Amino acid sequence: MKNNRKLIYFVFTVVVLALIGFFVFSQQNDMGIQNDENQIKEKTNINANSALVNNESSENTQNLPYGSPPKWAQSMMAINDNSSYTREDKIHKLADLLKQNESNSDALSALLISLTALNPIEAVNDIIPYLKNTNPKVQSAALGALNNASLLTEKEHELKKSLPENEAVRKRIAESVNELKAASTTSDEVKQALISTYASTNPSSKDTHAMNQEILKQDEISPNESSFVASSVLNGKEFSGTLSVLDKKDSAVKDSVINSIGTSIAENPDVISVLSIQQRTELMNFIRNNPPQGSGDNYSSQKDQWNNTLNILESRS
Amino acid sequence: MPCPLSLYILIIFRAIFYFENLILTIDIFLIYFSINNIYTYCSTILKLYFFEKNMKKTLLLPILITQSTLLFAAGNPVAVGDVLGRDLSVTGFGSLGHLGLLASSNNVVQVMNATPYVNIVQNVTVAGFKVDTYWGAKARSRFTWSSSFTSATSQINNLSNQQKPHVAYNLWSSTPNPATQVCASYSSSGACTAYTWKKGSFRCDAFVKWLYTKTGNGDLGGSFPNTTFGSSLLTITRT
Repeated sequence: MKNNRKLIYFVFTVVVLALIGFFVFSQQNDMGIQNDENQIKEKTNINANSALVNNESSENTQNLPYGSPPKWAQSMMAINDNSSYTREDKIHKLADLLKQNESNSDALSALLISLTALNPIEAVNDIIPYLKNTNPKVQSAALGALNNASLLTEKEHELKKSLPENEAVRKRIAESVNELKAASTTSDEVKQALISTYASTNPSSKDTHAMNQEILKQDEISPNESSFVASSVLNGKEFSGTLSVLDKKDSAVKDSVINSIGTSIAENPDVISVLSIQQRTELMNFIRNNPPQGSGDNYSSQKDQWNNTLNILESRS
Repeated sequence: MPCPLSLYILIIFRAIFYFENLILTIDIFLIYFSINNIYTYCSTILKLYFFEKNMKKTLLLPILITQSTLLFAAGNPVAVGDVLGRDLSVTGFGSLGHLGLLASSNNVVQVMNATPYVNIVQNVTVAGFKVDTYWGAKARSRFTWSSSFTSATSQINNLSNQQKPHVAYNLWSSTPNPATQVCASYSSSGACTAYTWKKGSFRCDAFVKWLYTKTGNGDLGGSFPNTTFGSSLLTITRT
């Protein structure tokens, strides 16, 4: 009995010592991260007057999770946080990292999302192959990166026109996305991601028309699909045709599209400026004639959005 | 960091070695390394008090009961705008934590690591949020919202719906990076002829911080979910 008691004490002591060791280790890690954060705060203050890109990267430095991030993540953050790198430097280095981590879907997704924030038109050829990756998350992340790569560059915004060399790249993106759209192996979730990026990657009238027709022949539509239809309506594409088809649809479909139109206008009221006065009036009448039909919290939210949308449209007509 | 695991272990040891005074000393040592939330703090205060009372064995049971009660006192959210916290369900990153925001009764909006641009922004029940060790709920003294909405729920739902098709999950950044609409083409006169969405990304804490600022409730701050959860703006802890 006494021996058993000794054994219990021994086992207990070993367990306690292990626990203490674990907690001391955790505490040291936490303190290490706190020190990192303090250093980064100092760094952020020093760089307060740097260019916008540099400020963004300084903030990102504060984002190391607990524990030791994998090597690819450390490399990725080192690139994102390096204020001496230009946007182009970062794009090329992140694209190189993509190639070094071909078999790691977590790394590929994270790297593609990092690239997305840089509007990586320079890395389009590196990104397009990931549309065929076997992991839906990687495919969707690649679609997002191509979405932002399709956006006008800073130079094009300054010139207020697109440049032929960039248009050639955008054409390649549109073709690759259409290939993915047509592929029978594309999963439903990737198709939804594709629909959310399609207005940017495939802005041609032909592609917009085809996608609108596909979406509007359904009896139910997803948030991504209603967002696409809303974008095409707000850009004046397929305007009257889409509204007349929508008018014959179930109230849930109409509610969803009108809500998407509302959230777009709420995010940036300038989007209305694209529409002619006649189109704005037509849109306003369509929305006014179709108040939300839902129930509960969803109804209140949709009703608020419905009112706000009408108010903004009226104030700009 | 909240460390309920250590408290669980503590209680189990207490149960096994109920009559051993040694435990109290070890208890305090363990608690020293896990202080960071209110119930471990209260528990520690109680322990120190009884420790000074020469570790009377007869008081061990009330301590045990008190500590257990405090351990399970992580309260449910009660008002829209309450911030919920729990461990992150990612191996090795649990202590980083995960946050959500109460959008309406029993409806929590959260950002999850799912398919980019499809289901990153999700709505779950309070029970659905508690899939890992739950930290509790915290609140601002008064949660406000934009005057163009009739309720905080409406604005939170609309912001969530707005971002849902356009954002990816980014584990490596606590900085909100919302999707926005930008000009996609110009006419020959230089007028914008089309707008499109520039994709964004959020981590769970970044999304909660963004919802707070967009609804006019200030910057929660913090570089990790657990530091955001400890924001000085969140003065009320639900019990």
